[in-house]
Amino acid sequence: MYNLTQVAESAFPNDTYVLDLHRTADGLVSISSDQHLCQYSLDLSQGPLRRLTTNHENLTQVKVVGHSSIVCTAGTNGTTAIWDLRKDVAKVAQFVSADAPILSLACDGTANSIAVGTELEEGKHQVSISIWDVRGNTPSKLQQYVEVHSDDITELKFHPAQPNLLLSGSTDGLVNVCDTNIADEDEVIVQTFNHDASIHHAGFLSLSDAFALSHDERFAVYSLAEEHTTGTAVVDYGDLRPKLECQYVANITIKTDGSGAIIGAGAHE
Amino acid sequence: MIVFSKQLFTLTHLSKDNQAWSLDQSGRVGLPGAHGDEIVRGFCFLDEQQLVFTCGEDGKIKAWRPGG
Repeated sequence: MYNLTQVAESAFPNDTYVLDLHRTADGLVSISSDQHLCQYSLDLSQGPLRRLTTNHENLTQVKVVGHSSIVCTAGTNGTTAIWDLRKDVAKVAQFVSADAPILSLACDGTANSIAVGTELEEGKHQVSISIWDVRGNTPSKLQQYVEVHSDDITELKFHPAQPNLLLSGSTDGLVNVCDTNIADEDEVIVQTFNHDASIHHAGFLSLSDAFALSHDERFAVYSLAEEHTTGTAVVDYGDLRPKLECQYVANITIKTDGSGAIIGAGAHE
Repeated sequence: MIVFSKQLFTLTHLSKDNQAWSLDQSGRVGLPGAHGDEIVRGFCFLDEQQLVFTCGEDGKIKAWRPGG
């Protein structure tokens, strides 16, 4: 194994969780349990360049449009906010995008549309995926699906080349690919991958392959090709923990040069 | 609180060679010390700058580079 060395760090006050971080055009953004969206340069030792207060009740998601300076956040009060980090007043918009807590968020690469997925609330029977056109001043709802999944929607991703294809993952054990150009909800699912375990993360590995990672660290690759419409895995790695000598898989990040993905895994012994 | 003697975060490349996906287990990259006993929640990397960033439940964001 080749080891890296820690060269810098930036710390939040005690008992704050840093929930996620992403690259932007010229730096990084993070979301944290103190309900802030923070912006950094690549030199972390400077600390945050900006600490933006969010208003999502509990912040659950941050996504960057491409590697631009446009950032979307979402949370448990069902709202999505759009931020432009180049502007003095960074928050461009915030709107109610779901009628339940938002657990998953995707932005297409051109900032034309966003998708949000909800939590299955106690006493309710449906979860929803809503797709919004966010061009212009007033977001408009393009589609809403309530039958695609039967439990918490934990992941949403737009296809890298065909933004009408939306991948979704759920604690119901399924990864679905929907064609958002199809108006009839009964017909929108173009492929279903039955991972048979609660989905933690899922996404497109390439133009023609997708992955699913379960909450119990089971990992498989699925093909989007038409001859694989049955949705069985083309490679099933099973439990990654013995293979990667780890206790948990944090996430899987797609490489921008098209050479696959990086699996980040943690070990405590 | 459980104190662990080894804290490590690893990055493993999943790549497609000859039409088949495979894990590059021999080329794994280690981030020794990681975020102590706390869970790493996210990471990102800039290949061109040879930089990796991690964040965790210890309230920290860390930058990592080759060499040392």
